[in-house]
Amino acid sequence: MSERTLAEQVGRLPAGIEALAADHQADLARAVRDARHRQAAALAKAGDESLRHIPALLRPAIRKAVGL
Amino acid sequence: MTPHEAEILKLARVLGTSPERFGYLREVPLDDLRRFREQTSVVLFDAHLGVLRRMAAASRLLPGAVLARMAEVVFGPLLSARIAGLVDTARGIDIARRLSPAFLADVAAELDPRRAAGIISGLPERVVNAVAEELARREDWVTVARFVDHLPDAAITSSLEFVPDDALADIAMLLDDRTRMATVVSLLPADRLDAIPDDLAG
Repeated sequence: MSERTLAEQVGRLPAGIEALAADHQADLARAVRDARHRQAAALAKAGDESLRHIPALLRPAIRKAVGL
Repeated sequence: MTPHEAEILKLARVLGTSPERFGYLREVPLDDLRRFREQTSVVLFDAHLGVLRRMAAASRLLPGAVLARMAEVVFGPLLSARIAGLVDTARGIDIARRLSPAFLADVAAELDPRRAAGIISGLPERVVNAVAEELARREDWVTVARFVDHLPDAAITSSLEFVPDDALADIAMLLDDRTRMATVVSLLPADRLDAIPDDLAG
């Protein structure tokens, strides 16, 4: 599957960004994608680890609230 | 620092990468750079919003002390900053006052102050001062400028005590709202005004 372009990730580009060379736009697209992936990885890690820090009695309610 | 360097630095901060990578943006008009940074910021803050909202809702079930510990040990600064904009203001303040200044400074660096304005303006002065001192120690002027854009005047006044004179020009250049510089100037003691170039003084 091809990776999403910069415009596909952030919406309509300002003219000065749209005028950039293709490799520079691709670099920006990569930077946005990497930032999103870091955030997703932090979320996944938090989902795995957070329940261990929650009192056992509250875990079922937290699971339900978060949708785990 | 030039206006382009300031804008590229802020974009690099949003994306969690180094400004040197974006040297090719020096020719892009400033307004376009700024709009692109805003777009990128919205995309990142709105990513995973459903999960983050559910996490914020679930946090109502937990004591503040547990949440503060989870913020530092499990969530880390990035997620804590994202969730801060989604929790109730009173809850956010209760958690923030339990966190270490170093961790709060990490969170501040990731935070969009517009999304957590209630929490920021409700923080006790001692907490604001401790975070300002830590940010100044790190010379994190991007974050300091972002907060000058959004903090109440009293908090700016106390925070500026920790900022050395030679950083004031950089902070002025990094402000999103240049008119805020007039506020900063009005809050600075007279003997510090010489540190700000006339063209940045608002």
